[in-house]
Parts: sequence; structure tokens; C-alpha cells
Amino acid sequence: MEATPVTMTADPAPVLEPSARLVAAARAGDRAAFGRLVEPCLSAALGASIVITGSHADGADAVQDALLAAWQGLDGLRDPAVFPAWFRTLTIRAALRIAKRRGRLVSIDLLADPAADPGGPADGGLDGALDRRLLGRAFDRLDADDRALLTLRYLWDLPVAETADALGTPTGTVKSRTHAALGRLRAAFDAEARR
Amino acid sequence: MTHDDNFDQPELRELLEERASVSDVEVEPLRRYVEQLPPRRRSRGRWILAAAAGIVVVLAGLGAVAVLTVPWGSSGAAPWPPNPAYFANDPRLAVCNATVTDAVAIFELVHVADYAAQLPNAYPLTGLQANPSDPALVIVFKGPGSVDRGGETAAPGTHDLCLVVGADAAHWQQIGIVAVDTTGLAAFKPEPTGTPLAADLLPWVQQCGGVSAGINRVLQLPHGTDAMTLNSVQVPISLMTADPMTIVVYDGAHPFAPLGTPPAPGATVAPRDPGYQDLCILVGSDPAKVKRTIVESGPAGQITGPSGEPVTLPAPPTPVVASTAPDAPSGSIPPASPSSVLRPQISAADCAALGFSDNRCLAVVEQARQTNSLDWSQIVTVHLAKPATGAWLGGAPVADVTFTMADGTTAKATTTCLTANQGSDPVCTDRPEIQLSMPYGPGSGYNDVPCGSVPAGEPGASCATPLPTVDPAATSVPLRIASVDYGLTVGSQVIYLGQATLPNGILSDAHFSLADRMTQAFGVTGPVQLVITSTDPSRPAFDNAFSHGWHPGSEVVSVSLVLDVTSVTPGATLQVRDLVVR
Repeated sequence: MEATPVTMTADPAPVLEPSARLVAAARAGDRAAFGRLVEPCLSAALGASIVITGSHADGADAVQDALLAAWQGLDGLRDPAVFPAWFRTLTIRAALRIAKRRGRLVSIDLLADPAADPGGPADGGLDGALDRRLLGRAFDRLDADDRALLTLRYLWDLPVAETADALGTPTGTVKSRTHAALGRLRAAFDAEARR
Repeated sequence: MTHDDNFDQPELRELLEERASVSDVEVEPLRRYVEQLPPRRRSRGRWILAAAAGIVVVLAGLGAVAVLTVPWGSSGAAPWPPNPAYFANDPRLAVCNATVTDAVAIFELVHVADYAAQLPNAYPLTGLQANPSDPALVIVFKGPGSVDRGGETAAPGTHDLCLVVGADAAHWQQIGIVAVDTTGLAAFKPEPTGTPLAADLLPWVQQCGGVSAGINRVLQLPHGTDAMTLNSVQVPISLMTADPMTIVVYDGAHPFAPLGTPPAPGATVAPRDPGYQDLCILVGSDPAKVKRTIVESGPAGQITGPSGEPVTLPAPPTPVVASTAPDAPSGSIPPASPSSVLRPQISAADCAALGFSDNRCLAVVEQARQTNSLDWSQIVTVHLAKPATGAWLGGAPVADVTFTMADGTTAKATTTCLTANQGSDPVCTDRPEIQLSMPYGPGSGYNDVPCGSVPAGEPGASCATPLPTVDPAATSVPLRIASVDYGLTVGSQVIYLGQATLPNGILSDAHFSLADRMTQAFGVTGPVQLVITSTDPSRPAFDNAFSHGWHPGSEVVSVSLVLDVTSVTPGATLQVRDLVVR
């Protein structure tokens, strides 16, 4: 289950065709039907993939991987109604696969002259206004698994159970990994703040 | 922000939303990609290698995994045969000046170092400047490849190859090789006609409960991370490591099914729905020393396998009612009215108009509230309506929820049901069935099948060494609870049930049930899990009898139930029945 905040539905909401009919047509090889099936998912899938892989090109590659996997794997989709969730899982896994091949991200910002960036918490600590740029750098220092987990939890606002479904991990693991990932983000932020 | 807050704050969400923001222009290439997708390959029936099965390459989507695959039984859905068209849009083709029509096979190597394993009769790659762990695309040309062969014609059984090595387009390395002996490339093997399970797979299959007619195929991956590219099976990411992985895919239920519960006498196990198959996943290079995980796809495709991770237990709470008498009454607490779960702010008329039970209505509202981080004390009214939006990446919409706050502002959310396990999600159904998870005990995969099905000296006879029998002198104190009820509150809960003393650390039984798995007195997300942990932190987890091992003397374990409670009617209890851990 998922509760979707309205702030995340900025994309035009298309008229929903019965997913069963679209899936059936896509299974028969109808690319147009498949296109209508995936259309509501593309923007969010691309956005999340970009976050996980750290680049627009890799993010697009990941979504293409997921599209191909979904297209070829439609026979394995038991319930057409869950296509979005299924496609989401394919996307996340594709993005993870690409991100892991690329290794850890190196933020462009990290290569810039630190002196040119006077931003950051005035007290060098954590109680001031959170510096978006430092947070971005800190996020880039996380590994792909952490980025994917935080994307599911805080971009898509998925509950723990659905995050577990998408990542193929037990619910308890999601909770502990979320806690650990936030801890690593915190540590990375601290490190960036000290730079 | 304090340290304890971590980054569960708007700043993190804003950062992610900023980075995930894409324009329609950026999405347009994806739409064009959909229009240009290659023809769908249809699910094929089984294909079986020769008995002396070698390593082959199976393409899974864009990725490829070096696997040894031996189907068994019927209705395999392995992505086979490899189809060069999958790579029609791969820019690496241009590096080799090739098109898909030039090739008889195109596949990816997860690591270029796997080249020799895939082409056992080819000359080894020498002088490779790339990192051996880099991926590579291999193009097997029908005729002369992109390398000048000086007019020489290819000998039978040989092909020209072109490899594109590297993960980064900026550093792709092209390698052209002429007259490669491709006779060992299993992608060229003909459609099989049916052979017994390869003998060298037997030790692995025995770890999964023995040879079963229900085995669809066996996948052997050089690295667990290679499972990422498999489309037809769902491997928990937590198992994806650099260690080798063997996956036994079943047509229907795994031999231990139903998970964690010994089958009733005379019971039959219904096959899984098409497309959803149980898995037995073995991680490790030695079949006698593997970590085993059973993934039970279930009727709705939900993974309910054991976590393999230890659970930290808090201090045990005190049960409100306890009895060790069989069929003891579960206390005098009357069943609560389901209507009592609705908070006064929620419009009961809206719930009725949607046709939702009060429990489901509350679950819908609760998820929307949590998503918007709203405090009940500030919420004046809650209205629900049929969802206005069509589709969302998260799943099918269930209801639009509008909160009116004390300061006059409103907040809205669309609650969606995206879980594949719709039968157990209170947002998705009026009567969710509580799932039970018992990853230990007979029939769960914890206990191994004794060796002996293969004669000594035969391939496959080297199965795990049987554990020593239990020492009769070792102390054994089972935990048996015929009936016990626990008071519930909303939130994650660990209910401590008690301790058991296992002779020699051998777990021989662990199961429980609930009085009413479709109760509406409370709601949960996810399964109710039976968790057994040793009181000795140095002892391994109870994943597998062999990994846990035989322990001199006795081992004291803590037994708990772990569950996430989403709603509770006044007086609702978790009515545990027939629990045995010994």
C-alpha cells in the first residue's frame, strides 16, 4: 500500500485504461498498448533512476532496461493491476545494477574549489539550516543500495512493506537499513561540512 | 536538526525531488524507445542441455548472466534462446561496426574474465588492458567480422568475434578476434530433448530438499550479484553478494511448502500460479557449506522467505492472558466492535460510500496521514472519495483522502494499493488474511534432507555431512504454549514468548498459529514472524541446521513474535495458538 502526497502527482494524470486490457494487448505484441501502460510511470521511473545512478544518461539507460525487461517479461505478470509496482521493481533493480557497475558517485561539486563555496552550516554543526549543497554531496557519497533505499522511502514515500517488496528484502531489513543509511548520510554530511 | 533526527526531514525529500525532477523532453526518448522495442519473445517450454551440462549464457533482458541451467519438468520461462535483437539499440554495436543482422549471437559477460568460461575452446584473451571485472559485450558474427581477415574464410565451427569491454562509454575497449572456435559456446546448443538432472547438480539440489519432480530449472551464477539481471526470478537483494549462487526454481511449491508448517497428513500442495515460482537459493561455493534461503512466491508473488538477519529483541513484555491448557479460552475480553477503530474525525459516511470496512477505511486514512506527517491532534475532519487520479507508479489508487486541519488548511493524498500481496494488505481488502512466517523447523528449510539418495562414489554423493545425533543427556526444555493472548498497540511490536533449551543447539520443531487469521479486531502489515535467537550472541543464526551446527551441551534460545500493527480495536489481542519450539 502506499499513500501518495499530492505534491508528487504534478505530472498530468492520464486517463486510466483498464490495465488488464492493456497488458493483454501488450502481451500480444502491441507496442502502443505497452506505451500507454508505462506512460504514467515514465517520469517517476526516470527521476528515481537518475537519483540512484547519479546521472541522466545512466538513469535513462536504467529505465530502458526496465522497459525492455517489462516488455519481454509480461508473461510473468500475474495480476495486471500490479503492473506499476512490478515496473517499479524492475526500474529500481535496473538502476541498482547500472549504479553498481559505475561504482560510487563522484559529485561534480566535490571537484570544485571548496573555497568557492562558503555555504554550510554557520556553526559547522547540524543544528543550523541544512545546506542543500552539502546534503547533495553527502548523498553522492552513499553507495547505490543506500541511494535506492532512500529514494524509495523519501522520494516515493513507500511504506516499509512496499520498499521491502521493491528491493526484495525482508521488512525488518528495510527498517534497519534505512536507519543505517540515514546514519551514513549524516556522517557524510558531517564530513562534507568539515571540508 | 539534531543527531537523532537524522535526515528524515524535508531537506532530504526536497533534494530527492529536485534531482528526480525531469521534463517531458527528457521522457520523450523513452517513449520513442518503447516504439522501437524488439518483437516480444514468447515464453518457451523447457529446454534442457546435454547431461554433461556446461556453462552457458542465458540472456535476461539487456543483461546476460553466465549460468548453468538445467530445466526439469515443465513450463520453464527462461529467456532463451539469446536474441541479437535485444541489443538492437546498444551503442556498443557501433563500436564493432556491427548490426544485429550481422550476428548469430550477442551476449554480455558480467565480467570479461568470464570469457574463457563461456568459450572454452577459444584462445584465451591475452594482453587485455581492461579490468578483468569489467563487463563486456560479445558479438559473434555470422561471417567475417569487423576485423580484416585478409580474405581468409572462416573454418567450420569458428566465427569472428568482437568484444566491447568496459562499463563506461568513454573507456570502451574494442577487441576483434578472428576464427574463434565457438564449439563450446552453449548458445549454439540445439533445443534439448530431455535428460536427467545433471549429476553434478545433485549435491546442490539435495540442499534444497532433494530431487523433486517439481524442479523447473537450476541456475548457477558465478556471483550472486548476477541475479540482478534475472527477470524470471526474484532474488532478495540481501543475498546478492560476490559469492557464487545456485538457484533451484520450482514449477510449483518448494519441497518444504508450506513455508514453516509441516504439511497436514494427506494434504496436497497446490501449484503456484503461472509466472510465480518458489526458489531455493544457495549462496556459497561448496554445496555442503551453503547458506540456504527459501523464497516462497506465494499465490500473490510475495517473498516471504527467511531474512537471514538477526533480530534484536527488546525487554520482554508481560502477556495479558496465558494458558498452557489445550484449547484454553482466550480470556474474557469480548470481541470489539469493528466500528470502534474509526476515529471521530473520519467520515463514516464516506467509508460506507466507498464500500470499505471501518478497518480498511482507517488503514487508508492512516497511510495518507503518515505520508503527510500529520498529527491527529491537529486534524479536524477527514473525507474520503473515489480516487480521481488514474495510475501512479506506486500502484492502483484506492481513495483520495482530504484532511482539514485545525488552522483551516487542507492536505490531500491519494492512497494506493500497490502490493502484490493484496490478500493481506488492509488497504487493499476488507478482510486481509494475516500472513505467518515461520522460518525454522521441519518443513521450513532449516532442516536438511539426509544424504543417501546417491550411492557412495557416485557424483552427487558428496552431500552435507549429517550432523551428530542429539545427545540424550543434553538438556532439552521445549517451549509449548497452547493458548496465549497478548494485548496489542499500534506500531512495531516484538512479543517475547519465552525461552527454550535446545539439546546440542539442534532445532527440531518450531511452529505456531493464530486463532483467527482474518480477524478485524486489529490490522497488521507484513507477516507475523516467529523469531528464534540464541541467548549466546556468539552463536550463529538459525538459518540452517548445518550452518548453525551441532553444539556441545545445550543452547538456550529466546522465542518472540515480531509484527507491525496498524490498527487496534479496544481490547484486541493477538491470539497465539499451538506454539511449539523445541
